[in-house]
Amino acid sequence: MLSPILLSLKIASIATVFSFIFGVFFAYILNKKSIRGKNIWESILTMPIILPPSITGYLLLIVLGKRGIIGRLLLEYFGIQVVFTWVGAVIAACIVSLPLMYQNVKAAFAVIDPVYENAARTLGSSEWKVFRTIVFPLAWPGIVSGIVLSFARAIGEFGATLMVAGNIYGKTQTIPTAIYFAVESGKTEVANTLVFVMTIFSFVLIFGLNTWAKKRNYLGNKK
Amino acid sequence: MQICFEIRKKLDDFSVDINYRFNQGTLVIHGESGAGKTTILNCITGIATPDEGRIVIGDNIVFNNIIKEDDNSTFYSKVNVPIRKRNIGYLFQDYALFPNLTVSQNIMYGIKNQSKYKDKTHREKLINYSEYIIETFGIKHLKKKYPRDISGGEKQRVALARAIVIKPDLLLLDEPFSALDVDTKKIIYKEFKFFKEKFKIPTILITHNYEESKMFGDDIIHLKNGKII
Repeated sequence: MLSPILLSLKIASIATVFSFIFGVFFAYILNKKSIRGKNIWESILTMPIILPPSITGYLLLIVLGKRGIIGRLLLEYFGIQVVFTWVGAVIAACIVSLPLMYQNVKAAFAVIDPVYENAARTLGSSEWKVFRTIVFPLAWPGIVSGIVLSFARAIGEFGATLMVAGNIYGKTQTIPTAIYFAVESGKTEVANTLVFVMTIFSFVLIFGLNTWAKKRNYLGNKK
Repeated sequence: MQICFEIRKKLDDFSVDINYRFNQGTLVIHGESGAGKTTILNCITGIATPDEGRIVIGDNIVFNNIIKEDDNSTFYSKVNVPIRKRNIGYLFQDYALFPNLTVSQNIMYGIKNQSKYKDKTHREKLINYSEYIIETFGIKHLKKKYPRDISGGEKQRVALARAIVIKPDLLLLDEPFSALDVDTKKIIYKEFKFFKEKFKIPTILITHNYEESKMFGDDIIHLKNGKII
């Protein structure tokens, strides 16, 4: 029973790291810089929220499968098979959690008054330093909120993960797929335990985030 | 040091069209809200770009996109120095103190960006100078506080200290007294006169208050719909 829990944590953690990197990058580029085709990029990034996970999973299967555009290249040149491995589960979790990260970071960037960035520039800061010392720290509460929600989304991912990674015990079986198959095969005790673990974990995560966010807010209300 | 600015920029309702030069001292640009005063400061500092113009601070051309003609040839010399390299101190209307940094960190922010700061001997001098500025502005007791924990008058002092500590070639003050209550204003006026005499940095101050224009301006221009009247 421990294997799906550990695997879920591993997959969700790695997926969240990539969501964080891509989410912050795209939120900054698309919202703080003038970029052509901004609406198209935003729509692509946000689509996994609207699409049913099974469709996202199917699309990933087409792209990452042995005959897929990327999957074939990975297999031919690097000998890496993505489908039905934990790497596939990470990619699926990252894709479905990225919109949450992007939206949270975008909202966090939007509330920062550009006057702070201009003040930093007049004081001799490069664009990278403005981002590192002003934009990122001021957006940090929103970014953390994005990290937590993305992690929660990644750990709860079911549809896309099942299609891309399957349900191989010890290799790709995560908590949600383990619960589904435990219920289907009548193993109620296993399902109950995993449901309990997931519920407690989710509650602690959201409670912790809310408590922390209230304490740390430079731009909004005081402590 | 001479400051020249020739700025033409189209705004929504009118165009800013100004050509002025002044020497050492304080130039006050007086005008109602929406007369284009902040646009001029933004163009000088590099936050906004003039449609056409030339901005010269001392010997440095920081912006130019005017076709220049002389007897022999016509040449097009385009200059647009990035904001961070213009060495202009800017006191924003709402002070723009970084909320995530303490007063001390706010003041040190510009100093740490200077290339000299990397050198150990220069670094000590710069730190000593920042300490001197902090003392002069009477904000030593605020060093560890965050901007949200200090008053409007204190914020103004910190923001002015932050702009001056980088030893700017030009100081821009955007309605520096407008956010202060009447009693604080009286104190800050006195302090401001003292700092003006002490540091002698060429300054452009914009205000909609005529009394302030008379009080601080060595040179005063009145602006309406982007033009001198």
